[in-house]
Amino acid sequence: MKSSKTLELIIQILCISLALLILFPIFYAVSVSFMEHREVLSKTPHLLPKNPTTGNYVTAFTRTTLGRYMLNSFLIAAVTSFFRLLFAAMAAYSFAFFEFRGKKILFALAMTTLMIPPDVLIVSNYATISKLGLINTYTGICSIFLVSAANLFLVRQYFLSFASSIRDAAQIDGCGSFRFFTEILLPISKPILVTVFISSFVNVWNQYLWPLLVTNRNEMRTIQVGITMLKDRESSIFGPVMAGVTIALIPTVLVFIVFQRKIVSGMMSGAVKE
Amino acid sequence: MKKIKSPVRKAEPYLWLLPAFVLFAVFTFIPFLQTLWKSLFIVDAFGNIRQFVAFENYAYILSDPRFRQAVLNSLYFVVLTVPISKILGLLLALLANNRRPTSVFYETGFALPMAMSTSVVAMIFQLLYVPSLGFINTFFGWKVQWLNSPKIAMLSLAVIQIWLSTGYAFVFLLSAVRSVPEEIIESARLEGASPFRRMIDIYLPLTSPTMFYLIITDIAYAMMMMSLSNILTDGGPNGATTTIIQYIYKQMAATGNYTNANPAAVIAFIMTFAAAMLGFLWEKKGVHYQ
Repeated sequence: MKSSKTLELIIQILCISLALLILFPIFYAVSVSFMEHREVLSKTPHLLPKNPTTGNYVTAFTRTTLGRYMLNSFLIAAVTSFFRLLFAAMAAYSFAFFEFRGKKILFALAMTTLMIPPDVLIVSNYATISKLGLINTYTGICSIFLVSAANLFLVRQYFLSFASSIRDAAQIDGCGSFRFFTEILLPISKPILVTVFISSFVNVWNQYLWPLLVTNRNEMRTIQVGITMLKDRESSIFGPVMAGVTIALIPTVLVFIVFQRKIVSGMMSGAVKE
Repeated sequence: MKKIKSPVRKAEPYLWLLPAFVLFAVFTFIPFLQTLWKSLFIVDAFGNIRQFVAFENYAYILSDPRFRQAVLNSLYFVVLTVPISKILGLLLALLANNRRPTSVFYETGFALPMAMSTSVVAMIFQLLYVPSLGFINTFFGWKVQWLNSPKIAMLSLAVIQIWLSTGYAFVFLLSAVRSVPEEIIESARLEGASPFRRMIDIYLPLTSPTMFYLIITDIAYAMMMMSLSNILTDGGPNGATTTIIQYIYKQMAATGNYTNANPAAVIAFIMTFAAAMLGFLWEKKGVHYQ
């Protein structure tokens, strides 16, 4: 079977070349971020910087508020993901372990929110946030992301895999419902909670429209909005902009590479038809 | 344990639901109903109702050429991006199907764009697209006005979107392709079916539930696109890349015109909803569940 071995080798080479081609824009951005100003503007294509310099990074951090944008995004993504997870887990606990009137209707109602794209609600949500005086605040930016029906669904699926008998057993041992939730259920559900937190973090980090809408002060911008405001249509400052781009993509790309399995399996279990 | 449930006990499951449902109510259900309701009124710059006009707002924006163009642009964008990213995703998945020593590298490479944000990618492509010194034109010796020509601008945005969403499709389709039973492939191979026939006759039908899910979610997503055109073309040139959501955003943020923004939002919702319903009709006919 020598021929099939060569075929496999050829396919591998093909796949790796394709992957490099797909990732080319990222490599190019990183490469430009280390180029000198003159080199960026040259009319002949350059792939790699001749004299790599970190000058663009210095410019990006000292001449713009890139650092602040990053801080804002980190805070918003972390705090939002924490609350998303908490509220999803609480609701999932109720749906998975309790019997009560209206349970089916409430669950269906929660799932209908998946059918309404958040973008069509921005008009009303913007009015709400501005009436509450939350424009240019972290609360305002986080607000609409604080609950996610997709997360609720995922966590509920996971909770359902535990027999409700473990709760009964815990109750007989004198463990109250609240303690069962915090001391038993959450610790044993760590895998799904980590998955949900990570994918939520990437998702919130990458948001654009809502943070754009509810902020107009520069120091409240998130990285996704801020990065587009560094641009200059005359294209003379591409070096520092690409330095900003590189910094902005590092967190999500790192998180993705490290947690790829978890993120992918999390998404899949949310999508699989029951 | 008490036999009769105390009121607290009875209320308990609802208390656990409370935070999630308060948020659903405040940021999804109420705004949804409000948007529907207010779309029938003239609304001032603070979003307050002024005068009932029934469906006149709808008649107005539907006769507004800018809005009609925005609707068509959004549909055009869906047509340009959704099928190609799914086909590319499937081809990559078939290529990566067998596990090989270097699998982990190229699988990560194929999937990585899904972790990228639209604005970061937009900035990178803006550089690649610069007519005078951008990499694409200088490398190929072209003089294409990628973002400034009304005919090409939308195609250029579509390329970016395809780049962004192919990885997502790949990840899902790879797992679908890998779950196709070995015996089916083997028997087809013994019958002498070519790789192309195997793709059409075996992989396409057996991965159709995944494909269905991807297409439905991506249509909704692409229909809502506004970030690329907002960042790169500002809806131009000449409104050639203005999408529905961008129209809404501009009505609101630039002119404070909620009277037009509300019915436009309702129409955007109806369009995604209709697309999903069409999808479900197609599901009954064309999707094979094992």
